[in-house]
Amino acid sequence: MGTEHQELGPSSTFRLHDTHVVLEAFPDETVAANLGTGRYYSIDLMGAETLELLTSGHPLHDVAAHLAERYGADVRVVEDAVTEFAARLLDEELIGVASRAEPDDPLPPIARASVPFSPPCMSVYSDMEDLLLLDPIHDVDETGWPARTGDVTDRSAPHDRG
Amino acid sequence: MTIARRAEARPTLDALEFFDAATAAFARAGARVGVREHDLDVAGTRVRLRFAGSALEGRLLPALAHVRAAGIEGADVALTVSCFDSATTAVRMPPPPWSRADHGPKGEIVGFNDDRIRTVFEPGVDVLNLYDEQRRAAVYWVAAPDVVPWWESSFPFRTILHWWAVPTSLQPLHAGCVGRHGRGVLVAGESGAGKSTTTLAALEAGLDYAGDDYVLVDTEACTAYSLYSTAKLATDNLERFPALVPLVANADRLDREKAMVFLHDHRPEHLAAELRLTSIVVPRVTGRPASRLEPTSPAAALRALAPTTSFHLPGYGREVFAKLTRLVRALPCHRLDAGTDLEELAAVLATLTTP
Repeated sequence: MGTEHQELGPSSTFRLHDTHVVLEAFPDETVAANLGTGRYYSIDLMGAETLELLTSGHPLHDVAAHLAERYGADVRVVEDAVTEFAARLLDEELIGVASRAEPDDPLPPIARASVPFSPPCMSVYSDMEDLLLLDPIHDVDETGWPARTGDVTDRSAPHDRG
Repeated sequence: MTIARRAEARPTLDALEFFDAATAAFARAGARVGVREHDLDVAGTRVRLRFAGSALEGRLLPALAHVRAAGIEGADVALTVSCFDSATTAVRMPPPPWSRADHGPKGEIVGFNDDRIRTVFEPGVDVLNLYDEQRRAAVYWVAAPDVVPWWESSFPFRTILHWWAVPTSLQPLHAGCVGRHGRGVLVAGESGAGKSTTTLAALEAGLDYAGDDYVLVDTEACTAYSLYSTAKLATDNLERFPALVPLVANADRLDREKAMVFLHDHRPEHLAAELRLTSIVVPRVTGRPASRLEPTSPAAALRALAPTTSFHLPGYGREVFAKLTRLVRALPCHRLDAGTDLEELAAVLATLTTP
C-alpha cells in the first residue's frame, strides 16, 4: 500500500470496484470489505459521503467543490483531503480510476451541513491477512498430492483456524 | 490482491469430471473396506455422512455426536458427504489435474470452482473438500487419518456445510452461542476475543450451550443451531474452569493443542439443539473483575462477525456479508466487557436471555 498515484488529479473520476467490494451503510458508519484481500474497513460519515460522490462519475474537483460549499469550508482544504482519501481508496483497491467522466446523475442539490468539514476517515481491519499463506503448499508426493512430513501436531495452528 | 496464476497446460479433467473421479474413488474405497453411514440432524435437515471404513470416524464424529440422528431408509437427505482416506483403504485419490500454482490463498483451486462444483485443498489442513451443488453431494478426502489436525476435529466439515448453506438463509458463523429457555445470545469476535471464556462461563453457570466457536445461524429466522459439541480452551485458560479439566479429551497433547472437551459425553443436558437469538454480543477481555454490557452498533457487530467468518470459509464473501448484514440489523447488539469473575460474567450475559 502507499502507492503514489500519478494519475490522481482534480479531473480524475472514479468507479467502485464492485466486482470485489461490498459496502453496507449504517447510521454511524459504512462497513466495506475487499473480498479479494479480506480486508475490512470502517468509513466514517464524511468518508461515506465522499466515497459516494467520488464513485458517481463526477471529477474530484467537482466533488471537492460540492463538499466545500455544503460544509462551508475552503475548497483547497477540502480538495486536499478528498485527494488524500481517494489515494487511500485506490491503494486499498476499493475504487479505480475511470477512463472518463460519466456521471450517473447531477451532483445532489447543496444541503447546508450543521457540522464543520472534517477530513474523511477510514479505519482498516487487516488482522486476518496475517494468517493467509502461513502454510504454503508443500512438495507433492508420487501420487501428485502435497505431502507433509513429521508429526501432524507440529503444524502451526494460527488462531487454531477457528 | 493475490490472484493465483492459472496453469499453462489445459487441465486433463474439468471440475465436474474431477468430482466424479473422486466420487468413484470413494466407491472403490467403500467396496474394499465397507461403507459406514451416519445421519445428522442439522438445522432440521438430514445430512448423511458416508465413511469408507472406520479410520476417520474417531477424528470427525465426536464433535457431531449430539446431532446424530437415527438412519431412516428412504429419508430425504439434504446433503451427502463421502469421506475416505487413502492410507487405510489403499485407494488413491486421482492425481490433481491442476498445478501448485493453481492453489489460491484459502486453498481454492483456480479453474475448479464454478456455479456447480467447488474444490478446495485447505492449506495447512491438507483436506480435499469437493462439493456438487446440483447433487448436494460432497467428498472429503485426506491422504491418511493422521493428516487431520486437531482443530479440524473440533469443527469437521465446516467448509462443506458453508457451501451447502450458500443458497439458503443459513450460514456457519465463527461465533459462540449460549442461552436458556430457548433464547440465545450470539457471541461474536475473532479468536482470542473471549468467545470461549464467555460461552464456557455461561455453561458452567448452567446456561444452555450451542457452541463456543462455530454455530449454524438462520439469518432470516435469527435462530442458531448447534453444529459442534466441542468446547475449546487455551491451556492457560483451562485453570479457570476446573470442572472441565478432567473432561479434556486430548489431555496428553496440551503442549501442542488447545484443550478440547466433547460436551455430548459429559454435559448433554446443557447442549441446546437450537436457540432463538435475542442479541449479539461482542466480548472484550478487560482483565478487571466486573463485567458489563454496553449497546454497540450493528456495524461493530458486523465487523466482529464478518472478517473472521469470511476468512475461514472459502468463497462467497458477498453472500456471507449480505447474510451477516441482515442478522446484525435484526438483533440488538452489545459490547461485553468480559471480566475475570466468571460467575458475574455469566450472570450479565444471562440478562440478555430474559423474556
